Amino acid sequence: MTNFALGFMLISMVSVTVLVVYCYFRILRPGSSDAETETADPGA
Amino acid sequence: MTIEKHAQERWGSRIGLILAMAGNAVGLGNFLRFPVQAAQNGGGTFMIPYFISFLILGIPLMWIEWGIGRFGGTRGHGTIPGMFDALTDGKKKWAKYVGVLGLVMPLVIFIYYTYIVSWMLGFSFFSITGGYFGLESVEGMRGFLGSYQDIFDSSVHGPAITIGFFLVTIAFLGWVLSKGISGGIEKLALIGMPVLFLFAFVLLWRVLTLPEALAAPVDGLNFIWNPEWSSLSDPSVWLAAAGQMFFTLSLGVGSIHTYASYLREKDDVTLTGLSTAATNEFAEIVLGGTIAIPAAVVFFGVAGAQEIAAGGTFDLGVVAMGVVFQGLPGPEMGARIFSFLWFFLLFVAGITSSVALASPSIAFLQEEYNFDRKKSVRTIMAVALVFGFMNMLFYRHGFLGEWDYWVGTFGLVVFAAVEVILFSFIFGIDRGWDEMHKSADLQIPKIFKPIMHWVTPLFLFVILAWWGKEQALPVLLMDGQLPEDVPYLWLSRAMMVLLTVVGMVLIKKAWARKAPAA
Repeated sequence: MTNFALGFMLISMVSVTVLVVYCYFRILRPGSSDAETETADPGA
Repeated sequence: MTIEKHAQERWGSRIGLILAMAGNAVGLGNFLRFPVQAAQNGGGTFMIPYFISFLILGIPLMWIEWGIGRFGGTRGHGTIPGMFDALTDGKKKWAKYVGVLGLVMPLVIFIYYTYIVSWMLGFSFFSITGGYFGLESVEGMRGFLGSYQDIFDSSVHGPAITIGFFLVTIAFLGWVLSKGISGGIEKLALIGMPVLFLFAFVLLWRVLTLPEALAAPVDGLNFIWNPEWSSLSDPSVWLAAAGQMFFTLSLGVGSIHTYASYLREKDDVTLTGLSTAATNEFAEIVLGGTIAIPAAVVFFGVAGAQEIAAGGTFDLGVVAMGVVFQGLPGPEMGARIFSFLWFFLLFVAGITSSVALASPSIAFLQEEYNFDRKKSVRTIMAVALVFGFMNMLFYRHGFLGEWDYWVGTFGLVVFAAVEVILFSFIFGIDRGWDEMHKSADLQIPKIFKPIMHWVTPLFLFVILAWWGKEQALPVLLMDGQLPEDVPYLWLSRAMMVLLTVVGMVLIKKAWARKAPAA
C-alpha cells in the first residue's frame, strides 16, 4: 500500500470517526435534550 | 384536525430517531455500491469529490430536509405535498402537485428495493443451509444468483423460492410498520442497527486477517484508496461522487422529511441531522470500503477484483463474496456463519431503509384520507405486492432497472433541486436558516448559509444538465436495448406515469376534502 493511500485512508477514517464520536458525545452527555424527549413521549 | 392527528405519533427517544434515520440512510449502497463506485472512479481520487460533495451537497441537503420535515410536521403534514404547500404558505397551488415526487418516488423505490432486499434474506437462508456451497466459481455463483433473480430461469431454483422470500419480507415489513413509529420502526432500528454494526465489525476483522492468497487484504485497501490523479479532471468522477451522496444519505427521496415530521418544534434538527449523516459515513467509509473489495482482492487478485467490480454491485456483493466465503480457511460451518453474517447484514441494512421508504405513502393515507395505521399499511403492502410481482415477472427485460434509473437515480436529483429552490428562494433562506435553528443544539457554521443558498442549487443543476446530456437522453431513447425488451421498458415507464397520475389525483381530492373546512 502506498504511503499516500495509507495516509489518505487513515485521515478519512479518523475524521469520520471523530465526527461520530463528537456528535454522540454531545447528544448523550448529561443534560442533553434526549432525556427530556424520552420522558415527554406521548407514545405511538 | 390534521395537526392533532399527526401529533399522535412521535419518536420515543432521540437515539431511537437517530438510529432510525441512520437505518434509513445505511443501506445496500454503503456496503455494495460505495466500494464499487470508488474502485471504478479512480480509487483515492474518487474520495476527493466525494468529501466535497458531502460538504456542499450531503450535509446542507440533510439539514434542509430535516428542517422541512419538522416544519411540515408541526403544521400537521407528514408528507411532501403538504410540506411544499406549507413552505409556500399555501399561496402556490402547484407546490402540492410537485410534491407528488416525494410521495410516488419513495413508493416506487420501496417496491423494487424490497424485492432486492428479499434476495438478501434468501441468501442468508442459503448461507446457513449451505445452499450455494459447492459452487466455487464465479460462473457457478452467477448462475445461482441469476436463477434466483429471474423466476423464469429454473436452472437452479423454482419460482417458489424467490416468491416465498419476497412474501416473507413484505409480511415482516407490514408487521413492523403496523406497530407505528416508536413501537415498530424505532424498535427495529434500536435492535437492527447495533446488530448491523456488530456483524460488520466481525466481518471486517475476518477480512483483514485473511491469509494472503492471490493478494493481501491491504492490497484491496490500496486498490480503493490509491489515487489516479488523471481522473480528478474527469467530470464523470465528480458526478459519480455526487450521485453516491444521494444514494448513501437517502437524499431527494422524501423519507427523511416524513421521519423528521414526527419531531416537535422544541426538538433539535441540526445536531441530530449531522449525527445521522456522520453515522452513515462511518458505516460507508470505515466499514463498507473495508469488507467486500479487500476480500475480493485476496481471492481474485487486483485485476480480478477490478473486473468483478466493473460487473456491478451484485457481482461483487453476492457472486464474488459467495466464492470468497467458500474459500475461507477452517471448517465449512464457520464459512457458512460468516456468509450468513454478510447477507443478513445486507438484509438488515436494506430492511431499515425499506420501512423509511414506505413511511411517506402510509402517512399520506393516514393524514389525508383518515385511514388508521393498519389499514394504511395493508393498502401500501398490497400495492407493493402487485407492482413487486410485476418487477419479478419482467425482471429479465429490465423492468426493475428502468425504475431504478428514472426514480432511484435521476429522480433523486430532480426532487432535491425542486426542494432546495423552494426552501432557499420561495420559503427564503433567512427564514429557512432560522427555522433550522429553532431549539438547535448545534449552531451551523455560517459558511453553510451561502452554500445552501447558491452552491448546492448550482451544483444540482450542473448534475442535472450533465446527466440530461450524457445519460438521460440515450436512456430515454432506449439506445442499445434489445428489441424484445422495449415493450417491457415502455410498460415500466407507463407504470411510473400511472402511479404519478394516481398520486396527483389523490392530492387533488385530499385538498378538495379540506376546502369546506378552510
